[in-house]
Amino acid sequence: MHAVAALNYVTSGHSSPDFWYHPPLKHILEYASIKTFGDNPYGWRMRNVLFGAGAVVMLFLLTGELFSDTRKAFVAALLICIEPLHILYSRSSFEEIPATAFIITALYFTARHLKGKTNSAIFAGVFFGLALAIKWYFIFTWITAALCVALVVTKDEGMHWDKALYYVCSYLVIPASVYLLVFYQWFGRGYGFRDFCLMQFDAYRTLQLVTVNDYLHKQLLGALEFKQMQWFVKPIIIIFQNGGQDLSGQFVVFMNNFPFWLLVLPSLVYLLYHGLRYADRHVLIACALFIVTYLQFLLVRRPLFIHSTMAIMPFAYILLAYFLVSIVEKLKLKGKTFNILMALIALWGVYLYPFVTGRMVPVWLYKPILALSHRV
Amino acid sequence: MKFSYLQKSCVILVFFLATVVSLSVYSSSRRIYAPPQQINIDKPYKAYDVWEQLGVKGRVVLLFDRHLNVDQEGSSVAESNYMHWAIAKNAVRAVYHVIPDNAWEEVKHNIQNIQVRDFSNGIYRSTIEGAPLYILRISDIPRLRDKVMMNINTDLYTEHEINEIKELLRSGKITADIITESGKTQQRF
Repeated sequence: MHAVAALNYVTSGHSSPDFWYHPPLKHILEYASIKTFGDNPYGWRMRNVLFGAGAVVMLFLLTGELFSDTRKAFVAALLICIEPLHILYSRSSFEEIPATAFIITALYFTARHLKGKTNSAIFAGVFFGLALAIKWYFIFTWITAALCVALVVTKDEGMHWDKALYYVCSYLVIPASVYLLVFYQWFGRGYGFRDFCLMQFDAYRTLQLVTVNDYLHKQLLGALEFKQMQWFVKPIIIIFQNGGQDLSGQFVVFMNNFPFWLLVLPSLVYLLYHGLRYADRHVLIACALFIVTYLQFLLVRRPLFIHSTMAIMPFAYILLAYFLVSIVEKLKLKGKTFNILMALIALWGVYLYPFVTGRMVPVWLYKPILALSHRV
Repeated sequence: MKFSYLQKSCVILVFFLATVVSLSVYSSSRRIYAPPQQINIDKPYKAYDVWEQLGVKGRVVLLFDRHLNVDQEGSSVAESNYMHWAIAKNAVRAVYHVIPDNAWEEVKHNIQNIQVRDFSNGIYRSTIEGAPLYILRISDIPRLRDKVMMNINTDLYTEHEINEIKELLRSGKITADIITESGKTQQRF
C-alpha cells in the first residue's frame, strides 16, 4: 500500500490508497527509495533501513551533545539499536522511522546551537520541517525545543529584536517553507493557498475522527491498539506465528523492550530530581522533550497503535541512558560495571534479534517471552 | 564574511516568500481551461469523457445533479463513480454540488451522516478524499473568480431554477468554459 501510494503521490499528487490527511514527505522518500533500489521489497523497505540506521547514529550524537558524555551516548544508541520495534519498523515501510530520524537530527542541531558549537539554527529548522512533513506527532516537540532555545539564549546572551526575528525565522519560517515545499505535487493539482489552509484544517479534523475501522488492515491494527498509559508500565508483546511447528517457530513480533521500558518512568523521576537539584538545563530539556511528546499521546482521542511509540522512544532512551550510566557511576568499579552494562544490553539484543526479525527459532529459547505475549 | 541576524532573517523571509510565490504560480499554471462551449450529453457521467477529451486539469466543477457519484469502487468510469475519477485524474480539484430545491431537505438530512462538515451562508463544506466539496442550492452559489465547468442534468430542475442558472452566467457571477448538459429538454446556457 505504501509503495503504491508513493508512486501515486509523486505522479498525481494523490495519496491513495494511503490516507490523504497525512503530510506527504513519506511518499516522496519512499518514491526515491523505489527509484533507487527498484520496485521490489528492497526498494519498498530500504528507505526505513537507511533512516533506521541513521536514527541510531543521530541518537548517539544527540545524547553525546546533550550530556557531553560518550558513555551515555553509547547506551542510548545501543538501546535503540536493539529495540524490537525499531528493528521491526526499520524493515517495513511505516513512516515513523524517517520521521523519528528527522526529529532526532533536528534536536541534535538544536543542542549544538545551544552549546555554541554552531552559529546557525537553520539546519535545526530544516529538519523540524522535514519531521513535521511526515508526522504531526512532533509538533509539541518542535514547539518545546524552540521555547527551550528562546529561554536559554535569553538567559545567557539576552534577546534583542533582530536576534528574536532570526530565531522566529529559523524555528518557524524555515520549517513552514520546508513543509510547504513537500506539498509541491499537491499544488500541482491546481490548488491555491486558501485551499491548502482549508485542507490542513480538514486533515486535522478528519484525523481526530479516525477509528480502527477506517484502516485497511483493521484486524491487524486492532490487535496493536494499546492504551497509551500502558506503554511504559507493562510488557507489550503481540505475536503472530508465521511458520514452524512445536519445536521451532517463525514469528512476527510486536513488542516493547520491556526490561528497559519499565525503567523509563523511574528514569524520568530521577532526571527531574537531578535536573532540578543541580539546575542542569540539558537534563531538564531532555525531560521536557519526553514529557511533552508523551503527554500529547496521553491526551489524544483517536486510536493509537504500538508503532506510535516510535515517536517517543528516542526521548525515553535518552532518559534511560542517563539513568543507567548515573547508577553505574555510583558503583565503585566504574569502568568494569559500565562494560558489564553494555555487554548485558548487547547480549539481550543478540538474544532477541533472530526472534524479532522473523527467523526460525527454537521455541523453548523464547518460552518466557511467548508466555507473556498475546498470540494472534 | 559574517552576516548579521537581520541579514540572515531577510534571506530566510525572502526564501519563504519565494516558496509561496513559486507554488502559487505553479498551481495556477497547472490549471488547464478550454474554449467556451456547451455540449449535450445523454447521461451526466458522459461529462467525464468530455473533460478528458478536452484535457482540462485542476478545475472547479459545478455539478447540477441529485447525486454526487463519487463511489470509489469500479475499475472504469461509470455513472456511480465518474466524479471520483475526475478528481483522481486531476481534471477536477473542487466540486460545488448544486442540489435541486425540491431535494434540499432530504440532502440536508443525509448530510448529518457526514462527520467532517461545516455550514455557513447556506453552504455545507466537506471533502472527497481531501478535495473540497460544497453542497448548496442555486440561490446560495457564491461569486466564483475562477472559470468553472458546469455539468447540468436539466431534468431535475424546474424552469425557474434553470432560469436562475442562466442568470448566474448572464450576470457574470460565475463564468464557465465547458457546460455539459443532459436531459430531455435542450437548454441554451
